[in-house]
Amino acid sequence: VRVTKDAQQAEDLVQEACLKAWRNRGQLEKPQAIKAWLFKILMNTFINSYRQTSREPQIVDIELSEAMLERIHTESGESRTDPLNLLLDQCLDDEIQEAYDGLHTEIRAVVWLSDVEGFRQHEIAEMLGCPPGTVASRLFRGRALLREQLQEYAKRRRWVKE
Amino acid sequence: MVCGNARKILYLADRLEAASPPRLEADSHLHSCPDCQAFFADEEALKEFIRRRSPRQPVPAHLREKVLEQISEDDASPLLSNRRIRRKRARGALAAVAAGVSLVVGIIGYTALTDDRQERFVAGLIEDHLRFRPGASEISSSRFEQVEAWFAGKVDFAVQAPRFEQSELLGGRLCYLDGKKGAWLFYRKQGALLSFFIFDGTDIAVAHLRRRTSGEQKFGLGVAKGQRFILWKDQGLVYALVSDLPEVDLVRLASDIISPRSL
Repeated sequence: VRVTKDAQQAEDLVQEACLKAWRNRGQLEKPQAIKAWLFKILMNTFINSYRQTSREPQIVDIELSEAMLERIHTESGESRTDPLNLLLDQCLDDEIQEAYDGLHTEIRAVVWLSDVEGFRQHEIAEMLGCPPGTVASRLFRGRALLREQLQEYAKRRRWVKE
Repeated sequence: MVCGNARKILYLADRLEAASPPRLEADSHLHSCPDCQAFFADEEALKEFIRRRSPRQPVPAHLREKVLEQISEDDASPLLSNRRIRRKRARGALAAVAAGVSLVVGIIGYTALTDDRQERFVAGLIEDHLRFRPGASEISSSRFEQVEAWFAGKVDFAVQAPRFEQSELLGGRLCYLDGKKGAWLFYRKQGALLSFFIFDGTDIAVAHLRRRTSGEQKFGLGVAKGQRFILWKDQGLVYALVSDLPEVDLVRLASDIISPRSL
């Protein structure tokens, strides 16, 4: 549901993925890797369905660059983590949901697989069939967009200065 | 090494060997660069926040049944002629795939309902209540009909804003707890803020809370972060009141809501 934003679609995908997993169970080489294997099947199923039906503009992947990463500066070397934590703690669940849902589907999937499910970038790359650099770039962009959107909510409520 | 270069290497770190020269150089830069330390601390804080605030939802029983039914039907397919061989193979894989089914279901954010989830739900109510700011209302009005009408079509149940004595309705908004969309109404009573929540409660239990009975109605009560709360289920919905008002007041308010409904 976190990826599809639609409970019925999510259920259909889970059913389809489970059936594929059952039919291809012989391909599972390492039983301890079952989680990654199942996620791969599910993400393949999801991506195929998404690309056939989606009207969302196709994502333009930007390679993670030094310039992109350098753009985020801190003032006089102070950690921004405490103010960020304070800001995030003020966010309401529906604002978080809205910010998350506002991400492009393929960026949302990467953020979810990495930050919620705890997969490493190379595992996500394998699941999604894209280079690890693309995963890193999507992850960075996704987090940056979420942060921006949540800060926007905070500004609207005047929790932080414009 | 400049910050951008070090950050790129470390951001992509999980596909680089830990002991590779660029990684070692980037690690050394990070060790001595407060800006980069702040950058990664920030990333970590956001990651932790996303993980913490992305609740899982329970596996709907019908989905579990459908999946198992589908697998069972597929297994009975005439495509494989030798039933004995098929059964033998299936038996070995069954445990793994059964575990897999649970995991796949988990992929879309579903997990089994646990006490831990119930506690998170209650904690979420308290946290939302504590986060309330005047600007948080999506509908700011003291007119009950206007607030009730605002929720129409936004939640799957009719919202009735209780008419509490000596209190002022401030407004309301939608809220999301543990993947559920609910209605959240704000009141001011005796100078205290009072939150009233309504959620579809088919899979929310309040059994783990301290119990109190008023008439035929059972309530769950508790205190967290200096706020008192009372929860109850009625006609498939879960209701909650959160405030720093005395417990006896919350019980009375809850009873006032239930009594007219039960008649």
